[in-house]
Order: sequence, then C-alpha cells, then structure tokens
Amino acid sequence: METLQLNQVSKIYNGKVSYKALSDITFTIQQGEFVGIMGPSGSGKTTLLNLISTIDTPTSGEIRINNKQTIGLSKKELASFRRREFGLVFQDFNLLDTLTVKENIILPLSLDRKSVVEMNVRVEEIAERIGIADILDKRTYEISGGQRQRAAIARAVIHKPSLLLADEPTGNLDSNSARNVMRMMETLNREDHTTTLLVTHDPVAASYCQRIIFIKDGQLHNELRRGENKQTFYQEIINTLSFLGGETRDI
Amino acid sequence: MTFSQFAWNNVTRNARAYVAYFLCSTFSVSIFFSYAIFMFHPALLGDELGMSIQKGMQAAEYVIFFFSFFFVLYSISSFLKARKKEFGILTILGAEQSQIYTIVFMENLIIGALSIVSGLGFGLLFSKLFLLLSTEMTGLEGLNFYFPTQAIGLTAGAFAALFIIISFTTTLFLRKQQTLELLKGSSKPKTEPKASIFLSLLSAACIGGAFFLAQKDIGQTYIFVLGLGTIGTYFFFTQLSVYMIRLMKRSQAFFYRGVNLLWLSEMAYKIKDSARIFFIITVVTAMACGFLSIVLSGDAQNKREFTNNPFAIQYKSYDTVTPNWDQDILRIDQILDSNEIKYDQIQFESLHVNFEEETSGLFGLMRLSSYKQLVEVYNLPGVDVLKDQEAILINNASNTYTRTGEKQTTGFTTYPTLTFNTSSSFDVLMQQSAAIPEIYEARLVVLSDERFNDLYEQVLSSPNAQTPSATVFYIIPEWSNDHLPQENSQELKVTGEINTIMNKDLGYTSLRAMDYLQMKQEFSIIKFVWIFIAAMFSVSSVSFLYFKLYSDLKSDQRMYQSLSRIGLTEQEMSRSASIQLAVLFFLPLFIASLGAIITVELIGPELGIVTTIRSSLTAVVGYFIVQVVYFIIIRALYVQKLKKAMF
Repeated sequence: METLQLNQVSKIYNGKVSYKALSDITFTIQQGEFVGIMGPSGSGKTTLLNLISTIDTPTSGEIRINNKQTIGLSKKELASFRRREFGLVFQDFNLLDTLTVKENIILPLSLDRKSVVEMNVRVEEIAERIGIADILDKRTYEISGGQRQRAAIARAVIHKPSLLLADEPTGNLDSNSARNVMRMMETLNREDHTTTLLVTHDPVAASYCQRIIFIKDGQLHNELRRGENKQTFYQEIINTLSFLGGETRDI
Repeated sequence: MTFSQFAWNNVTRNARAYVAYFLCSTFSVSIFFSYAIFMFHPALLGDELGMSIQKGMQAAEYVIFFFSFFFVLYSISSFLKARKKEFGILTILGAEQSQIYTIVFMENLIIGALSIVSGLGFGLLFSKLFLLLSTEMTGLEGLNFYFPTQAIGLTAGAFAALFIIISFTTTLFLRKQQTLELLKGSSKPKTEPKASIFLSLLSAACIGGAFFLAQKDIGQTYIFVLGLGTIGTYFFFTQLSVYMIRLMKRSQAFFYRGVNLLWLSEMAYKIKDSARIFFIITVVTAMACGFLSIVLSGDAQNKREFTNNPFAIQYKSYDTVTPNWDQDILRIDQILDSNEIKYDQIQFESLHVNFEEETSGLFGLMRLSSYKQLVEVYNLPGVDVLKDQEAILINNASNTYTRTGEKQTTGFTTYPTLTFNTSSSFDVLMQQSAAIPEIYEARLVVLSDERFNDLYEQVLSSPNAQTPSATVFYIIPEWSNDHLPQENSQELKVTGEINTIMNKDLGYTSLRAMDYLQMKQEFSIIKFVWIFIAAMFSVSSVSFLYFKLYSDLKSDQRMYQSLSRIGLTEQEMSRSASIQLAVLFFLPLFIASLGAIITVELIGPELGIVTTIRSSLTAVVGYFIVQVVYFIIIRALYVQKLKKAMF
C-alpha cells in the first residue's frame, strides 16, 4: 500500500522574478519504507518536505497520503491531519522549554484529548523503548542534544503516525548521538513498520535508509537502493553527492 | 558620524521600536499637564471652593507623578530588554561600556524631550475639552481656556527631572550583564519558577487576615491592615499564584487535557516574570477603585440624607439663656411668611441625661407633646397619655444604615426599664426607631409633659448643669423631599435667602437643600479627580501588559509556529493564548477588587461615610468593564499576530 504519493508536484515562488523551486516531482513511498531525500543546498529538499507536511501548498500536482488528497483541505482540517497522520522531527528539536520531557511527548495526545491512562501507558512504553525513561521528568534544558532529539522522536511517534517526517534530525548532534538517533529510527521502522521519510545532508545518516531519492535544482535526479552492504551504500551515496556537485559535508 | 549623531539616528531611524516607550511617556506627560492646567486655572483663585479643588488637584498631581515614575521606568526597562542583542553587537564591535551607557542616556534624553514637547502639545490641544468636561462634572462655572504658562513650566520641569533621573537609573540595568548574555538576549531557556510553601501560606494568611480585620471595628489601626493586604498581595503574585499553578499541574486529569498543557505551563513563567508589575497594578487599582467607591458612597449618602430628611429647615440654638436667643427663629418665620409658604414647627428643649442601665452615651429627653408632632412625620404609633412611670424609647436611626443603604430598623439594644438617679424609674412601653436628623443623641426618651418638666428642673439645678438649648424643626409640605432639589427650586431660593440673613452666633441652622447641593458639588469634584486617576491607572496597567506581551511576542510566535507544524490548530492556539491573556488581565483585577473592598471597609468609616455594597460594586464593575473592553481589543490584536506565525 502507498503511504505517500507525489504526482507531478511543482512549486513556483512568485516574486519580481519567479522561481521554480520544484518541478514535476513524482514518487511513491510504500508503507513501512525508510526513504531518504538528499540533494545539495538549494535543491528544494526543504520545500518538498514543507509540501508533504502540508504547511505549504504546491502550485500544481497532487499529494496523497494514505490515498487521501491533502490539497483543498481547510486550515483546521490540515492541522488535525498533521497531528494524526504525521510525526515530525526537526533539526532544532522543537521541544517546549516550559514543559518537562514527558509533557512534551504527550502533547499530541493531549491535544487529541486522549485519556490520562492511555497517555501514561503510551509514554511509558515509548520512553522505555527509546531509552529516555529516566529523564521523563527533566526539563529540556537539563538534558543533552541526543536526549532531546530522542524525546522529539518519542513525541513524533507516540500517536503511531502513518508517516514519520524527519528534517535533518542529526544536524545539531555530535556523531555519536547522531548514530544513536539513526539507529533508533531504524529500529522503529523495522519493528513498528513506521513509514519514514528523512531529509538530510549527512551521508552517514542517509546510509540507514533503504532507498534514497536525490534531487537537484528542483528535479528528481536519481534513486539509490541499499543492497546487502551498508558500507557500499555509503560509498555510493558519497559518489552520487559529489557527482551532483554538492559538497559531501556542507552543513 | 559622531556619537551623539549615532544616538540621534538610533532613535529617529528605528522609530518603530521606540514608539511604545515614547507614547507611554507622552501619555504620562499629557495627563499630568491636563491636571496642572486645571490646577492653575485663574478662575479657581480666591474662591473657597476653588482653593479646595486646588488642594485635591495637588494631591492628584503627586499621585500621577509618583506613578509616572514607575510607569516610565518599567517601559524603559522592558524596552532595553528587547534591545539586549543590539548592545551585545556594539560590545563585540568594540564599544566601551561607558559608550553604551552614553547611548542609552542620550536616547532617553531625546525621547524624554520629545515626549515632553508632544505631551504638552496634546495637553494643550485637549485642554479645552478637558476644561469643558471638568466644568460639566464639577459644576464650576467660568473655566475658560487660558494659556497655561505656570502649568507648562511645572510639567516641563517635573518631567525633565524625571527623565534625567530615569536616564541615570537605566544605565544600572545594563551594568551587570555579560556580553554573551546580551547577545543571547531573552532567548536562553528559563528555569522553572519556584514558590515557597511558607511564603504562599503567609500570603493567604495576610489576605485572609486583612479581610477578617476589615470586618471588625479597629479604628486607627487600619493602616496595619492595609499593610497586611499589601504584603499578602506581593506574595500572592510572587509565590502563591505560582504555587497554585503547581498544584493545578499536579492533577493530570486537568493538566493533560487539550490546550491546558500549553497555557498552564506557560502561565507560571508569565506571572512570575511580571509579579512586581502585577503587584503595582493591583495596589493602584485597589486604591483607585477603593477611593472611588468611597466617593460614590458619600455621594449616595448625601442623596439619602436629603430624601430621608423630612425637615426643610432645622434650627438648633446654642442656649436659651441669652436675651433674644430666638431672634433667628423669628427671622425664619418672617421670611417663610413673606414668601407665603405654609409651615409647621416642632420645637422642643434639648436635655441630656444619663440612665443607670446604660453607662455609655447620653439619652435625650422629649415631651409627649413633641412626640405627638413627630408621630405623623415618622409614622410612629400614636400615644395619647403617658403615666408618670411610663416612657417611650426612640432609637435615632439617622446615622445607622444597613449595607444596602436602608435605614437600620432592628438590632438596637432593648431596655425594659430606665432608672434616673435611683429615684425615678420608668417602664419602657415601646421602643421605636426613627431617623431624626441633626440630633446628636442616639436615643430619645419620651416622657409625659409633667415628668419632663420635673426632670428638666432637676437637671438644670444640679451642680455643673448643662446649658439648656432648643431645637426647631420646620415641616414645609410644599417642599417635597422625594426628589432631589433643582438649582432653580423654590426651596433653594428661599432657604438661600434665609442663609444670608441669619445671625450665626446664636445657633446652628441646617438647610436641607443647600447642604445637599454644597456636598454634592464637593463630591463631584473629588469624583472627577478620582475618576481621572482611575482612568489613568487603567490605561497604564493595560500598557504594562501590552509591553509584556510584545516583549514576549517573538518567542510566543516561535513556539506556536513549531506547534503549528505538529498540528496545533488556530482555534487551539487562540484558546490557549486567550486564556493566558485573560489570566494576565483579570487576576490582578480580581485581587484588586478584594483590595478595594478592604480599603472601602477600612477608610470609609474613618471619613464618616457609610459605604454600601452597591457603590463599591459600581466602581469595581465600572473599572472591570473598561478592562474587558481593553482585553477584547488587545486579545484580538495579539491572536492576529500569532496567527501570522501559524501555517
């Protein structure tokens, strides 16, 4: 079953000079896939992610999530759509300073007015799996970056979303934490079949994906599938990136 | 570019950032100036009433100036907070500390000077309107527009001093800051606000104690009760409210419900951040509302006194010994006759005695024949004859009102018998209450005419006897006391005539309509002064909140934006933001109305004013309505701003 379908999606920013950020993007992500999107700076990765996560609308084309059209929904419908169907992870974590880790994680459930019992059960379960059970009552400024990102991932998956969207989740982390976070996402994908879409610059992070879509100048460039060997996959990613003209590390 | 040019450009080219600070200062200046124009008005000179107005305005000016100081100080400190980053950049570029102080100092002076000029301009522009309004409200005539040289001088001088002092003070705000802190500005995470249980309990105890003591009659110690309330209020905002939020967060069923998670967690920070401002707002609001309701109570009491007074004219002689002691009474009769006005007279000798049953306070004595005259006026039960041992007790209700403003009719002490000098004892046949004005005795004992004469002789012949005096009441059916008197009423005209020819050495005349009008005018002046002070406090407290909101706006926008990404709807954002805003607006107001009630309960009796629930509520409700209007407007603007950040 297709979790995400993009059909001929284009985005043009109108200004004094019109700028075509994306043109005719078409791809599909099956349920349970772990897909990466890579491309040099300015290639349209962020625009693409914004379109998929419904906080921006395409100029033309259609986007379906679980076979449901997202274009034409009202603002309110879109918000609850995001809340139920997506889990979002960001480079800067996007956790609220005023809440504890636990409160941050249950926020989506609380907005959906789930019962307290259910919230507590779910938060215990996910925290245990992600390894943050002992910091649930801490505040976000009391924990490390890696822990923050894991808390953010817990928040993103606590409501069992159809699609986990991660925007440079390792961008603010040291390599060790980054590896931990990527393993976490890989595990969630494998065990829960959480469909995951990862946007990243980082070839190491990308090498955890099953498939990578490369875009350049707003167009699909090519696609890489992971074989048996992760090391080979990593090498292929590096080769493609240097072919694309982007630097391998331009963060 | 010289340094002063830099400071000047900073202000003029970045006008938007300065505009709030500038407007607040202008506002303070123009309010102060308006009062000064009124205070120095030439028409007030020489007139007794005018002088008392000037006194009132002077007090108002002190209050305004004191408040302006904090107002400007607060607005500048929140303004500087928003500009921390700018100072950080300047420091990195190599500006010395002293240079940064100089910039801040010069900017303040520039803004101060500009706001004095514009405040004076606005004040002058609206002074005509203000004077018209004051004429309307105080009933003073002849308040024409004039060019207020003195008022300009006072305002400019006072505010120049204020801005210079504040410019010096503000540099202290920056002194301790590290460059890094400056650069990070307000973006660093705040630690969770803490509250001590002890201080929270202390706050509750202080507020509760103040309330409890306010109900008691404690006389001069009221100042301590006000102090208690003030301490309670301070800790309410710094401790108790934070503690209460902590308790609310403990209930997961409530805290984890919808947007409660959002607003409740933010609330503690917002309250703690502006606890001191809330404290000031609360105290001034309580003061303004409290005094306003005392004035309104006084005004209402004045009206009641008129409508409860069946006698248009009362005369009380100082004694009945001086030859021709009754010449003023004859004059009154003469004037009433010449104006062809029918009247009835009730005349009786005043006599005070002490009965053994009551050690505190004197009883007045009255003849049965005088009582018979009062029967109809006060709807008292008619009595034809009193035996020698019988008496009627009348409780004078003229100064006792219930909280709703009605005359008190119950709750007086009962005396089955009254004994005088152990020799004569009276059985009290019945006890009645009547509001007899201008009589100081709280209780009157009616005796048969013969017994009255006996006692009268006895009292007057005793050593250190009191001087006998007489009281005359005039009942004038033509002059009704159902409606408050108009300026052109006959009662006012005739009693005015009486007032001019009385010889005031022999006795004391009380003219119902004239007394009423005189009091009314005095109250309307005080009302005028306090309504404007209350209005100023109201506007300023809203500005405080406005500053607070706008210094938080960026971080709020950022927060709601990231929440919007993960699916917070606009409705939920609006709910969360509105609840927060409502708490910020109405929590101080709620505490302030408690404070106002305490103030009224304590100070009203000190001023001899019987306060009523109704007039207290009028002031509080009026203030409340104004704040609700502000709230609706500011909420709409604020939510609109936040919506822009949402996807």
